[in-house]
Amino acid sequence: MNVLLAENLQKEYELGQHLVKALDGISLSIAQGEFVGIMGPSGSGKSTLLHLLGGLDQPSAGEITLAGEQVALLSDYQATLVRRRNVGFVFQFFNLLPTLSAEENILLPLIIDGQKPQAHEDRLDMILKRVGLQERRHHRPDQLSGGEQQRVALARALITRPAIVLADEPTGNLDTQTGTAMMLLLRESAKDLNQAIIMVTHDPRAAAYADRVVFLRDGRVVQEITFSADADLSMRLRHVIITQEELEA
Amino acid sequence: MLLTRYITFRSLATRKLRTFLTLFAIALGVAGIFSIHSTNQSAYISITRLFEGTSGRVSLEVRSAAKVGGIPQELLEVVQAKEGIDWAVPILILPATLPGETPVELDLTFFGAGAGGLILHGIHPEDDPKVRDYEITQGRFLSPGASSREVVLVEDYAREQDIAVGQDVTILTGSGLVDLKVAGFIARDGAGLTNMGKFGVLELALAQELADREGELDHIDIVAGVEGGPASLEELRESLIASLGEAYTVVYPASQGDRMAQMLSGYQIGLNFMAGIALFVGAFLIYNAFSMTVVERTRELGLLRSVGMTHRQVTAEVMIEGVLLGALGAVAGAGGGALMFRGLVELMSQITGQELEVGGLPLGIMAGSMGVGMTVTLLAAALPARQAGRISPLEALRLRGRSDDRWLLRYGWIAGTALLAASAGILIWNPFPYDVQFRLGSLTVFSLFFGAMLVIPVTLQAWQSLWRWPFRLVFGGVGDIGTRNLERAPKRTMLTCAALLVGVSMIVVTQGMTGSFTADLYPWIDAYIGGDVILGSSVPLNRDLKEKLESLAEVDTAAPVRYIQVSWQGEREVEEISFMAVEPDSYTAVTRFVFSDPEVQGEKAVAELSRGRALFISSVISEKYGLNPGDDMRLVTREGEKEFRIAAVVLDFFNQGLGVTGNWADLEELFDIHDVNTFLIKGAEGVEIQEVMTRIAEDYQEEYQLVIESNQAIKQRAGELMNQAFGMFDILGIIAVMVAALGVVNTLSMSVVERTREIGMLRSIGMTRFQVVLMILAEAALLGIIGGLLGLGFGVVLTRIFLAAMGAMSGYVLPFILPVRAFWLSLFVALLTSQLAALLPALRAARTPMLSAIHHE
Repeated sequence: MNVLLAENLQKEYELGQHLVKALDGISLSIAQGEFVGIMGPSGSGKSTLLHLLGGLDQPSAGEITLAGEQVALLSDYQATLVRRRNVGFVFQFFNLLPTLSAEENILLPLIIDGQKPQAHEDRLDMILKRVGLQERRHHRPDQLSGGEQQRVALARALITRPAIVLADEPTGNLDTQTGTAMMLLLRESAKDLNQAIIMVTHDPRAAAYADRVVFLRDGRVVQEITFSADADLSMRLRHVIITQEELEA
Repeated sequence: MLLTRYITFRSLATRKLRTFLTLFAIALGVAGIFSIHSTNQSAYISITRLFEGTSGRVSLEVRSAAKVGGIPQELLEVVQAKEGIDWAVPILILPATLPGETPVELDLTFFGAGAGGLILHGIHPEDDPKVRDYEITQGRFLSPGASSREVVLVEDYAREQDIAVGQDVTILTGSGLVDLKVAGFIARDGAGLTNMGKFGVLELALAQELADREGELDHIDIVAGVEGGPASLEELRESLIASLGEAYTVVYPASQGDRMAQMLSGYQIGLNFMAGIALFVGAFLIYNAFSMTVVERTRELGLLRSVGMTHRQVTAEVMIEGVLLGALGAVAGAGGGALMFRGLVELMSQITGQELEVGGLPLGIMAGSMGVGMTVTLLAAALPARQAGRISPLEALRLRGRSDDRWLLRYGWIAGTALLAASAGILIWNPFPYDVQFRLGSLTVFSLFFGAMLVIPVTLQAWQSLWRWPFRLVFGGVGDIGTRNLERAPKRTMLTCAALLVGVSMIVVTQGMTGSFTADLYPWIDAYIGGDVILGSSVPLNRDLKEKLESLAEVDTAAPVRYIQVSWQGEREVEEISFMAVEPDSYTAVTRFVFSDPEVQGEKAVAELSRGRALFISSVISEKYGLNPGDDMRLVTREGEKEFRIAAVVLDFFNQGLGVTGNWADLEELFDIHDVNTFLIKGAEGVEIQEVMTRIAEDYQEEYQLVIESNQAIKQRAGELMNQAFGMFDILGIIAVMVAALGVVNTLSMSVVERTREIGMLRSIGMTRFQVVLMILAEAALLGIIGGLLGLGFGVVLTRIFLAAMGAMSGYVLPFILPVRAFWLSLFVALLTSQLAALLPALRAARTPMLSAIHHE
């Protein structure tokens, strides 16, 4: 079942007197529990696509159906509610609130939604366990390592059981080892929680954890790789690197 | 360097609102200092000039020791014969008025009512100009000899009354109407400044005839011929006292000015306090604005650092902004100050009942104030400038400015607690002498303020926890997120709360002082302006008028009142106090006495006053000199020093509370005074006040030049006058709150700018724009609550210190009464201010575009 459907997405920006086409007719569908990586050189439209899919921005043309809602037709308020309940975000710079503890940061989307955090204690415990932060739940972000902060950010994205989690360069600010741990966590979450994940990345090693990798160039989908479930990581990585080199050639 | 200057100027132009606010703060401070000091100087110059002008070259004056009544003219020859005297000239004061000049209302100054009118001096025309300056502007001066029946008037006054030189003018004196020929005009300068220019001179003998005081003088003015300065003058004074005898006294003319200067000094203290507040809030706003500029320009300054600018050069860049704003603000402040100066002079003139001269702009004070403005600006800008200089290029390029407040959290509370403990210690346990106590009390104001301010950062979490539930109720879950933000910039939070604290405490002080004052003052005013109607006149009123008035069907009782100045031999020195003479029977029929001890048996006390040689003293005299019923006071009368028994202590704030009430019979017998200042009238039962006034006006207004006013109208004006005096402090409170509001705007704007990315994240994970607004409003509300509650506490302590200081200085002890209204008003103002001030930054935050915010570094 598709949780997200994008059809013929177009996005144009005015840059001075010029019209820049950031996306030029992209169509994409994401199934429940699917982990999709999006790759492409700088300026290829990766982040723009992610923002449109998450309802952060409106397309110039095309349609996006997210959890049954036509995102492009929604008002700012309605789009906010759809995001709040159906989309989880993981950012490159973690974006945690420094004045809140790890636990409070994770509960943030529920607090914003006016829900009582106590009602979600089981879910919180389960997620804290999954991201390995049970012992660190009362620490503030400045008392956590970069990897721990990103795990808090992932837990925050998962707490509302969103239809889809959007990750923007989630390993961009982490060292290799922590980045690897993060990717394992993302993949397991997709599998165990039956959670759709779309991740934008420059890093072929990160992309190799995805079920499917979509390559963009000049605002268009130029290539797509789907891995079989039993493909091992080194094979996936090689495949991604080769495809990337072919496209850059 | 030109390019970087250009960047600095452009940065000012881009941030128009902040540039304007900073300029406003600097201008406010400069204008405050300039106007207040100019007003003080103007008051001082006016008073000095007035007394120098009216006293001329007079170095000593001979007067009656009893303060009232005249001295025999023969004394003039005795004085003139004395060695060491160049000139001795006689003066007889003749109160008069022009028919038709009668004002519609009594001349009401701070707690004193009179009817204005013209003052004529009877002089020797040949001698007086040698002592005082008379500048003839038209016609000629008086010709010697009483037969001339001439008068010389101040030109401004004469022109107002349409009087020309050469014409005959009808003047009303205590003994009736008289026609005098106007010989000439004098300028309103020198002697012409007397009685605010409502002044004229005539030949002494003629004045004596018109006043019905043949052979009498009011004083003899002496120009001493002694050399050797004050010591020789004092010798001459003592020798004069010795040869003239006890019935007369010799005084320095300057001592008359002391009283007015003393009266002004209290107000000047208040004004100086205002200047201090203006300076503090100004400095805070400037600091805040510069901090914010540095936060916003960090990236730009970091770029300049990375391309080779040194720490010092970056610091200098910010300081140049300070110099520019300081200079512009100082100029604007000087302009605004000049306008405020005129307003203050006008206000002070009204309050003191003394016209103050504005004159030219005091350039020295103007330059000084501008200098102070520049200095404060540069000092306030120095810290953010240093902070800007310390940011490394890398840090600057990656992050927005971040101030290091750890020291404040770590050590601030220690200093704060110590200051609070010391202040509490001083306030509760103070074994020092009175004047040291007073000084310590003033210091306590500052130590309390800084103490409270320094403990704010460390108590932020406690405040936040304490208000968590109410905030959740009002603002929802986002309220929590908002209030937690205050912990991020403790220094900024501390300063903003401090600004709110100042504003709120000013409101509490104003309310508290007004409450305490009015609790005492209104019952007194109510009794003091007693009866239904008050009659006054600019010429002495004959007591016979009482019977005439009481014969009218519309009048029940007419109670005469006469005020005189008397000397009283206090413990340390001779004091001058006012003596209000009343007929106890008629006075109590019309109004009542307000006894400070409610237990006192009023009738018994009034009966004692009626028996004579008894006094009611004011609570101020009682407190100041420790006098109580049963004690005696020795007053100097025309019959020498006489003992008066104190019958009761009453509330009486006439003459700043330095007054006693005595019996009419004593006034006539011991002071030889028979005329009346005012009549308090009680209308006959069932008669409308207006009818009483109309009837008196028809029958007696013209004959006695009466000013007739209903006591309700006077009370209303007295109330207005009081409100005007307190209004000054209200304005101060409003300004302080306004500046605090600007501080909140700045602080929250800075907070929003710093958190752009974070707000973008919150929006992306589902926070609506409205929730963003609520979050910022919650942040502001906690600022308001902290500032409001601390301000309330600080205001209460401040009011108590002010009341205690006033009691110590003047003996005027007021009960501490804080109206419940003050409590709610201060919290309401703090909350409302913080919420209104937060709206702009909150809307700005709500408009934060998510995408740029997420990518914002």
